[in-house]
Amino acid sequence: MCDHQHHSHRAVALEQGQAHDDDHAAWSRRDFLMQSGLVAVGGTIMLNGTPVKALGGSSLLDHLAQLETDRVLVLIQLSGGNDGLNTIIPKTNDLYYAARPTIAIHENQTVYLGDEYGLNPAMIPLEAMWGEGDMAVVHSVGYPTPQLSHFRSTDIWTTASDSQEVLTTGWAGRYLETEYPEYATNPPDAPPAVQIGTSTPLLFQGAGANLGMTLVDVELFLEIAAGGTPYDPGDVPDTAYGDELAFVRTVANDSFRYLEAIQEATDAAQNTAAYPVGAMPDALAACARLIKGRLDTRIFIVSLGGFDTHADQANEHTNLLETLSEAVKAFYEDLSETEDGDRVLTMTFSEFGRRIAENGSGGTDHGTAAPLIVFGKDVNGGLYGDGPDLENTESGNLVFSTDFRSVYSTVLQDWFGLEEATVSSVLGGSFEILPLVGNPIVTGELSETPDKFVLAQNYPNPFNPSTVITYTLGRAGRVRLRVFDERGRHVTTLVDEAKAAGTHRAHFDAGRLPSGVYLYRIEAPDGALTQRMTLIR
Amino acid sequence: MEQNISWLYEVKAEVASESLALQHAGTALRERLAMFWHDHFVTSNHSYVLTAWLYRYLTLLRTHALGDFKQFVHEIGITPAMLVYLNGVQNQVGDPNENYARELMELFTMGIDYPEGTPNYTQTEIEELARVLTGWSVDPYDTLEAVFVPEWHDNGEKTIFGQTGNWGYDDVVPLLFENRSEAIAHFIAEKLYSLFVYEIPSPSVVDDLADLLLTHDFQLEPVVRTLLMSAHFFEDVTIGARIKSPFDMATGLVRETGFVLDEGVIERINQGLFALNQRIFAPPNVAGWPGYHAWLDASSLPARWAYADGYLTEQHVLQALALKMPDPYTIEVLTADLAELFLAIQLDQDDLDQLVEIVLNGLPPYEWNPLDSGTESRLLVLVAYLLQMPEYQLT
Repeated sequence: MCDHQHHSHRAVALEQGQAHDDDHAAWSRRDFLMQSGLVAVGGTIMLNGTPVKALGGSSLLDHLAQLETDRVLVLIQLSGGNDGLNTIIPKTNDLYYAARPTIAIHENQTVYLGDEYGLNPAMIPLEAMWGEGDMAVVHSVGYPTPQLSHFRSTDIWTTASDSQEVLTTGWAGRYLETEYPEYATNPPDAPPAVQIGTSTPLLFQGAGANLGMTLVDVELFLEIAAGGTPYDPGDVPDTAYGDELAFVRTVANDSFRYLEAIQEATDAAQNTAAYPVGAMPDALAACARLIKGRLDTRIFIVSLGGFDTHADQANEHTNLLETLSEAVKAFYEDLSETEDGDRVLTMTFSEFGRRIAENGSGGTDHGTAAPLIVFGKDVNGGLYGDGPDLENTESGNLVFSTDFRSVYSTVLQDWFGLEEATVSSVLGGSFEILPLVGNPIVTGELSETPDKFVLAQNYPNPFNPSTVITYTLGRAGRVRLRVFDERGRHVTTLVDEAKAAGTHRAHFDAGRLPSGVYLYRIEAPDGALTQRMTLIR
Repeated sequence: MEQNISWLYEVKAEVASESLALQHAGTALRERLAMFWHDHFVTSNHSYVLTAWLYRYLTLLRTHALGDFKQFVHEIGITPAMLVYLNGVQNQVGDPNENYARELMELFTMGIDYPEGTPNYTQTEIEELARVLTGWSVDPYDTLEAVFVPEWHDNGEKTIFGQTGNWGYDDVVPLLFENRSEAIAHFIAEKLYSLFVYEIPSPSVVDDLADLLLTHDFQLEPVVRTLLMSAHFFEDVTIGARIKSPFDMATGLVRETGFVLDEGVIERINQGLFALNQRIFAPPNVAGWPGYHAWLDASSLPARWAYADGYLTEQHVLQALALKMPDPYTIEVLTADLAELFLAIQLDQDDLDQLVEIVLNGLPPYEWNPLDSGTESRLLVLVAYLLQMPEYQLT
């Protein structure tokens, strides 16, 4: 009945009971790739019968080298337009107090950020992070010719377009496409980007595909997506219906595709910090769990809504900032339990700040530039950029001092280690790099002399239950890295794909394997090497 | 307050059931449009201080669903739910609040730069329009209607679209529709097109619809009628290209399976809509539900399967449904009829053969008898499978 060769669409396991399920369980992603025409033959990757090299020089392999970071970016969208002046308070500025007779925050209530600025008192949970230098504030972030529409300005922030320009791809999507150039034909085992909760459709949209996966509820997803197999998005009629059917099929495939990776990561970690109540803190907790479980995802986004405080904003804004602060504090406590805090940079953004003067309703209308906050163990804490200038304003609104794309550039170049030229092409221009990142990844010309072929000792060793194996290739090509037990029985395959010349890392999780000595062996164009490692439970 | 919340809940249940009931009774179109206008002239839970305000708002959506769009715009702006939702009640002389003014132009009528890409208004015009809109209030202890408080109204001169005057609320619709009728007609035409046909508009059809709106001075009924009777509406290229909203799916499932509406079903729909992230009377923001591709992702699609599966498992009506079909005794015919009932597009023979095998699960076709005790569970497998086909998400 269920002939894999001919029937393009099958749904999840409702068909024929256990035997059928087993059959499908064995029908792996690799089979799917074989069917879709992407097969590794010898040392060359074939894409629909065409060697990849013919598709554009060695760019694929160059890009693979850029994946050598396990750094993660977490975005927190403050949607509705966060009132920057009541977040980072210009506590000695008389103009601020004059413009906001009823909603200004008094200097003695603020949390000290230096002589001129103070944090909203609701953000006291962040005081320790600030004190430890794990929090940076970039003042007055915005863009020229600001748009005051929520929707236009959100699009601008997510696509990194100019004010008057309409882009249909997101800045994160364009970045991730450089990291996963074959995403559409050879998707990775884990989603490149994950958004938890509310959707920001454009952010992860690339030219060829949307590289983001949305999870509303991780546990629920795991429960219901179990046991799926792929549909064929190519075999559809050439109509609008066919286009949409292809879309739904792709979504269905996505929900199966990443099941294993998300399941593994969820099983491997627990939340160990106390988060405040709410959807956004829940989402951040889910991020922490996936990160601690080492899901190989570059960017996460969560969203906190309700910042459109046109009226009676005092209580509302306080509650929002409190939720944000408590959640971020818990997030880093959680991550620090496993030292994952070192590899996670978190950044807030909002479509705009709010009008300098309060309106007659105890609120504020749509404004322009606002501060953006960056968190992380690897952040150079402090204040960046010129503070809000309340004297030289434009129609009652602040003039930005730092372009938002400057912050994006900093993240891409110093945090993710993207080359300057690639950063410019992703963001459509060159923007100043801020010295925000403590240990920037330094990029440069790829070394002309080929690397020596090395299979390094794993670290840590002995280990329990996971360890990292580092290897260096002198020549690019297909690599197979396998683990055997002491008697030479194959335990698992860690790598079986084309890799660029240079140094790579592979994670090995021993799962429920017994204590003992294991061997790991690499086969590559340079030859083959074997090493030993010891698992002690 | 608790009483108020339970009333709110009842009104929501009432919407789901009335929507379904009306779909049977031949007024489905108006009800579907009322939901559409809720997604257009958005207000949300927290603005219904009195449940009566929600009821007034809902009544407005239904009354004008196919009526006079200009009158609709006029009345929606001073319905209490909207005055609260977009801060109209706080918009007073000397203390303007521009929230409603902005969305009235950006989201409710003309869009930022429809149809030619040139801006339809400036920030100054938003501020001026906000001044025009000043003076309206609500008093939850006194009245179910909005009240106009003359001393809160800004009596100064305002300039909008190059016209200056001491404009008041009655001037709002004339100001917008006399100066920006083309833009409004296009904006609304495109929205109607995406409701009935496809999210990616056909520019020529939208142009035609916009012309019709202008010809009929923004009467909706003749425009919708023309669209629904047009050849374009029945063209193969656009049939079945719309992605169902959770509301479409949940209410559609009730209709398709011929369930009797009772409190349990309504409760189930309400829970389902909550889980599927479309809470009626609580859109995510003033732009309404993002819709289209935003409805489906790698977690919400499996959530739809789970909803449909749970629903069917609970209801036990598939055998009864089968027995109402033209030929329940011939499994090939029954399968094809069920596929046609649930899917917008006909399946090819290979798919149908596969479905027959699924429902028979080894049983020889001649032994199929819809009166057998095992029929319900066999059909459950078949229908759950049908509903998990990506095709089912399209309408």
